[in-house]
Amino acid sequence: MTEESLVLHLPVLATIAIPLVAAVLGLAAARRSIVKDITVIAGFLALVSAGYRLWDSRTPIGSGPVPTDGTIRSVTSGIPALDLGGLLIPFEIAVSTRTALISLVVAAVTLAVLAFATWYLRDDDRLGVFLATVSLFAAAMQLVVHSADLLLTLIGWEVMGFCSYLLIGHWSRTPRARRAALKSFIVTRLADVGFVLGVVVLAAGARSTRYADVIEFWQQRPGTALTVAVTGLVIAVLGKSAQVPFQDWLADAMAGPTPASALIHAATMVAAGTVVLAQLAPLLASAPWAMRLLAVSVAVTMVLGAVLALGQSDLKALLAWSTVSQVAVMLAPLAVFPVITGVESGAAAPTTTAAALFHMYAHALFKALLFLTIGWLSLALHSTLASRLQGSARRLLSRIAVVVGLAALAGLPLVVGGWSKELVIATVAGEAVGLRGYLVLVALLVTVILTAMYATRAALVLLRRGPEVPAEPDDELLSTGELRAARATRSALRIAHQAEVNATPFTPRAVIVLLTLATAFGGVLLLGFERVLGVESHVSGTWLLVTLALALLGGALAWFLSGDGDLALRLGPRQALWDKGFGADRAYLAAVVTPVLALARAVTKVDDRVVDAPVRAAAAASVRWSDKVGSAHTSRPLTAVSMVGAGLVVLVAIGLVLALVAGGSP
Amino acid sequence: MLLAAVAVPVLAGLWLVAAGRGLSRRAALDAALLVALASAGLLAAAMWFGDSFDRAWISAIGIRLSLGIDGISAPLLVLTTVIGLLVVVLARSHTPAGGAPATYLGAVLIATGGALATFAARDAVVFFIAFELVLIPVWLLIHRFGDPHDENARRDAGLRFVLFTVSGSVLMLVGILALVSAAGTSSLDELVAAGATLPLGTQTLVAVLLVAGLAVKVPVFPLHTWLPAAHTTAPTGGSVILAAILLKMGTYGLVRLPVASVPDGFGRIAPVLAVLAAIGIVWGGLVCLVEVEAKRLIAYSSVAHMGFVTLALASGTEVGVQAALIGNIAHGVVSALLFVVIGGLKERWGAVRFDRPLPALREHAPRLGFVLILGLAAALGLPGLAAFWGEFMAIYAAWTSPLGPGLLLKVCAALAALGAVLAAAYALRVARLLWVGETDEPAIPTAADGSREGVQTETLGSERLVLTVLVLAVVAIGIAPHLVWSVTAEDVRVVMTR
Repeated sequence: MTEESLVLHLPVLATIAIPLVAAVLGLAAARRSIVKDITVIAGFLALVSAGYRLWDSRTPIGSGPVPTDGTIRSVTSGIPALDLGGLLIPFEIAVSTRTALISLVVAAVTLAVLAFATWYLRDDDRLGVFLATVSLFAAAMQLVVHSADLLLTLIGWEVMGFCSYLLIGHWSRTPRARRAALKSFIVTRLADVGFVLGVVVLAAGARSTRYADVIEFWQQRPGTALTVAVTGLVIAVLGKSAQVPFQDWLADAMAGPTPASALIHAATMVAAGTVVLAQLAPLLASAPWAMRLLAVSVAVTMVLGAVLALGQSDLKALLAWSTVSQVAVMLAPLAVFPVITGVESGAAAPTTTAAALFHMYAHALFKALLFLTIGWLSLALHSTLASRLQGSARRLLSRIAVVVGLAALAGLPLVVGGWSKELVIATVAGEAVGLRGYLVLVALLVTVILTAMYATRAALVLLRRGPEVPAEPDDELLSTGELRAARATRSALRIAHQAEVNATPFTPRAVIVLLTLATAFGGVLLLGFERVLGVESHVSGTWLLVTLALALLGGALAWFLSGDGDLALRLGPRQALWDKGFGADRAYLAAVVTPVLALARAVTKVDDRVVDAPVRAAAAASVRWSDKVGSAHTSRPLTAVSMVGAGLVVLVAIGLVLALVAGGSP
Repeated sequence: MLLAAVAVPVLAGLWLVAAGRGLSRRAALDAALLVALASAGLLAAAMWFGDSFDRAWISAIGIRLSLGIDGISAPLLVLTTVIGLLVVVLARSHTPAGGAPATYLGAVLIATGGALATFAARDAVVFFIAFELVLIPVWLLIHRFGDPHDENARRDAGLRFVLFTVSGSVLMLVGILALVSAAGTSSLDELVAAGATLPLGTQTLVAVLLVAGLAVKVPVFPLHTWLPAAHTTAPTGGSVILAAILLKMGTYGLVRLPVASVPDGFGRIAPVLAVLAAIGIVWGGLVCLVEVEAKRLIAYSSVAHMGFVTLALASGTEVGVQAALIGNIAHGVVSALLFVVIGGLKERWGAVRFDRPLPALREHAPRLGFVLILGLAAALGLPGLAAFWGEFMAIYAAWTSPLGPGLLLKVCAALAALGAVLAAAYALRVARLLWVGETDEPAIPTAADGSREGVQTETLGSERLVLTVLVLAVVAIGIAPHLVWSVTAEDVRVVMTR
């Protein structure tokens, strides 16, 4: 690579480097108010730089044009390549219109989250650290998006995981946050074993970590090794994206501040797997067993997530489970590639990966909008419980934001989520072959109904005023006077909440307005998007009608079931089961944590009583022996020294015998 | 210059130990700092000018007093010098009780100088002598300056340390003698060519002896039990020297002697070593999940981390040696950092045990808390920090190794990858107990005697400087492994592709 090309793709590097620098500076200045300016301005610069890259994508970089057909071209990142003798690590990054687009979305959501957090966490004494961590998180995600090197991807992937630990555990003064942070990191890290081994196997074959080398090498050699490697990658993606069986960490992660949730759910972390698998799609297509695993997991996850979302008592948890379900939708097109065998290869269906990435783009916009809106509405109430949030969206802006966001979630046409979901379903239907394809397709259609149901439920909760006095379970136990007092408190709370929402300053409002606009009209960008993704327009009338019909059916069903109140209340005491994610946490404890800890205790015991015991005995014996000898003499020699002498004699004797044998043998 | 860089700290240290009792604490500290700086300066000059030293010593058996620097030893020489300097600086605010400060500093200097000689030695016998030179001052550090609360533990730890390392040394000595007599030379450079031509039986025997002897020092499972005891009792500076310098001598010896000199013999026993290393990784990680004493926990994590280094070496590949070398350096700085943090807390609080409520560092001492979480992140192998490269490349090296029956080394690689999950679990366990605190109302720091007044949690005096240097090193190596690999690459290639 010439120096010239480094200058030309500087905007790409800048989108990674700017947040990184902001993180370092922000950490250094964490306790001064300047940290807000540093991180927000850096977020803005990163956005500009990512936007410039996309806008400028027709200008060739270095030796060739920027690919627009879903392939990538790798260029040097400025980090010198490493040659370790048998392994080349070129540290290259990718340029393509797709990466530029995803990078733009990531930068936009990051900026929205940063700007929102400066207001949302304005009273938090650790705001500076939070903003710096968000910047680092964004830098890591940008690295994953732009990476054209397995090792760079692994670096971004793991750093993102650790940042999520820090962000989820931000309010570490609460036990819930501490536990959630630990759980999220351990669960994803366990899955990441697959990533490490996958990278090792892939690199071991190609003797290089460059995507292009790895893909070229392994496409010629499908087989067990490739299946193992790609299955490993898929497992890691399932972990990071909270898919079955790793799904449970994401709901707990709600213990983090809402802006952190918005970032983790919308554009980073859970979506990272989609990006990685889309870029390594040719490998995935050559490993049918990995695709089968992915297909089963996403099919189960999308339905499970939607069912759980329907019954949550907490609206933030509803959004969390909807993320789980929607990420499964995102991954669905990647699970239905027609199997590529042997040398005929070629680029693996750019349309298919385009559908996945388009849904990621759509989901990033509307999920960021929904999270930030819920965070906004809940701030004065100090709760995201559905019962508390009943009717809390009263101002025009919040009502519009809720309607647009939930419409996109439900996949109604014209808003961004509708376009992308339709594209996903049409793609899966077009590609579906065999059991794997139909399983995913059926799951998708069921999910459309369920998603419309819980979106309607959330809309009804937020938009419709509840009964004047929300019936709280403990009201019956109160005397009349107490009841009056409790009601007064609640109405005071509501007034305070309204005042808080009214007093919201310009920045968070602007963030919500912009995200609402992006969600509402982001779908219209589809045409431009298709040029960027390098695929033909794919709108299919039939599937559009089918999805619309299913979504309306789900919405109507939810409306009917809701009656006057919240539909989830129909579950009664069983709602606890939903809130616990059907007991996955207990299953984790029983299946992994308890056995591992038991093993650890056993190992510690063995270490003490078996491995160490003879040593202790030897040491004690030598001390006794030297004490005896010592008492015979008037001057006691140092116990240790005499013991050393004894050991020495024995060992020299053994050594001499061995040496003699060695001398004799050859 | 190189000779002076090695000799100055040893001689000055001897003088401090022998005649330094009369010196005031201040004078001893200044003298030691001056010596450490002089040694560092001399070493830098020797590296810059490519200085070496070679003179006939015991001509009857052809042993030459030969010192030199190459790519394999250079990073370790730098590490040793820097760590030695940091330990001396640390003593300015943290001088352990148990004897005259001059004795402590003298022991530190001798250990540093001995380690420098070990890494600079170009002759197998000189290597052995230098190796042994380090033993006595370190024993002194553990036995005399160890944990003042527990006389028995100190005695036991010192005893076990000597018992283990001397046994290992004797095996190594026999190995070296067998190798030297068979190959007809004791020069490390000539042994690379001469050793490889030896018959397989001799090579195997030499490799067994050398590996067994050096494995004690590394330490390789199941010879590791001296390490937790030694670490727990040693003063902070002693723990740092143990972890960052002493253990490195073991792995460096493995690279120099069996891997470089008797490659075929080493190849035959390497699968056994790889299995032990993989067991060590998982074993250390598991123990860390339930261990309640903080310094013991870090010691067991050292066993796991050195397992990665050993596994990389046992792969017998060029990548493996590269991984081992960077893993060595990384473990040196990361464990030094953790020991300075935990050791400092132990000195202030009397004990750091996880079965009692601990003050949350994040609340009471945000700066120290930051250093701790960074150290823990490095310990769990987070990319971007020092330890990642060695661990990932060790797994890669084991996977690509041509050695071993069937898939044995691949299984070891997978076990090592699982060990990294255990590392995450125990690092975050420590973070949860010590960094964010376990109780809603974070416990208030108490002194060793239970009083709550005036107990310091945040870092003190020179500790802050030491920690800053270590943090920078951890981040620098993590972001730019080129720092180490560009130095080692050429010489590793020479050794591994003869």
